[in-house]
Amino acid sequence: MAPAKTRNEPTPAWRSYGAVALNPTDNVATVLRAMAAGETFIVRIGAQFTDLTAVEPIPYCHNISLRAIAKGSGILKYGTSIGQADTPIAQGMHVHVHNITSLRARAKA
Amino acid sequence: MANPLLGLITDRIVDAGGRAILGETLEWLGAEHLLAARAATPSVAQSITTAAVNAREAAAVAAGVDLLGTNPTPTNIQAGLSTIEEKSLGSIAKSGSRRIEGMLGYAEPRPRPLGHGRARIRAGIRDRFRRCGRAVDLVHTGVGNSYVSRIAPTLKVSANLATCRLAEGQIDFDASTAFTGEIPAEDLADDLVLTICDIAGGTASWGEILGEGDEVVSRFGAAL
Repeated sequence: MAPAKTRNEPTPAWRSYGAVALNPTDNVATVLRAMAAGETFIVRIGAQFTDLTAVEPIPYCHNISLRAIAKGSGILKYGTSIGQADTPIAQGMHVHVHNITSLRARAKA
Repeated sequence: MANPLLGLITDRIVDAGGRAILGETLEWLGAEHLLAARAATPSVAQSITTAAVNAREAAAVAAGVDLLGTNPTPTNIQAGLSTIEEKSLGSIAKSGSRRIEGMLGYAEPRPRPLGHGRARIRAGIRDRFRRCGRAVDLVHTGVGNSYVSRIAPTLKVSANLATCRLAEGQIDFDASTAFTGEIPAEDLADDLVLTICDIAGGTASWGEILGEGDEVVSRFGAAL
């Protein structure tokens, strides 16, 4: 498996970013470790890197908003909609079932 | 991250003249346009969106089943998945990038073998019960899963570091280095091909050793 790393090797890129968004159009990213409220980390968006601060705790592998998302707007991940915002979502917030809804296969009320 | 890794495997199988089958059409909801764009013909594209996905979606709605409560499952939701669309987009990454040649119905046998070099991807409903003649069932799991096919050797792959550590005796292939980026995905795919060959050649998978099963008939509703 992984070859043993020597002390002089540069830090691998994966150690340097805390969240990743695969498509540049995405408005959410996936955190690669649990983030505390107020924690600032590097986000990889496609091939670009930027800083982001979590405004609330984000559990491991959950989504965080990369920018403000208006109520009713699409949540974009992998360049495609994964649902819509139920409430206004500020940058750095936890984006999950409490504030977004699927647009598919909804039973009629 | 194990999903795109399986996508690399799918492409390799297809490029080598093999055939890959993508199941679980319910988990195409929200991603069917990406599959349809790879269809060999307009009728295959239509069968992906109309026959498979829309029919399943309509059946769920007609049955009064709201996928919000059942798929993604509560375990998926806890692990970070929010909607069926998000789950689907990850799920279809397993299908790789090659052309989709056709659609198989439930329990429909595979078509006649293909000539050398005429690679195809077959997409169909719930591959698990189909007499498709596959050699290996590749299952990707984020948080662990006790499903094992009754008709094909089943190999479980996970890229979740915590799962790979905790379920060492369930995950046949630890792809967590794809998640951390320690090992390039292409190199990991080389290792996975060797593991697949081992299992296809008779080495027992963890599921076989542990006697796992959990095969279920297709249905709407919560997976218990």
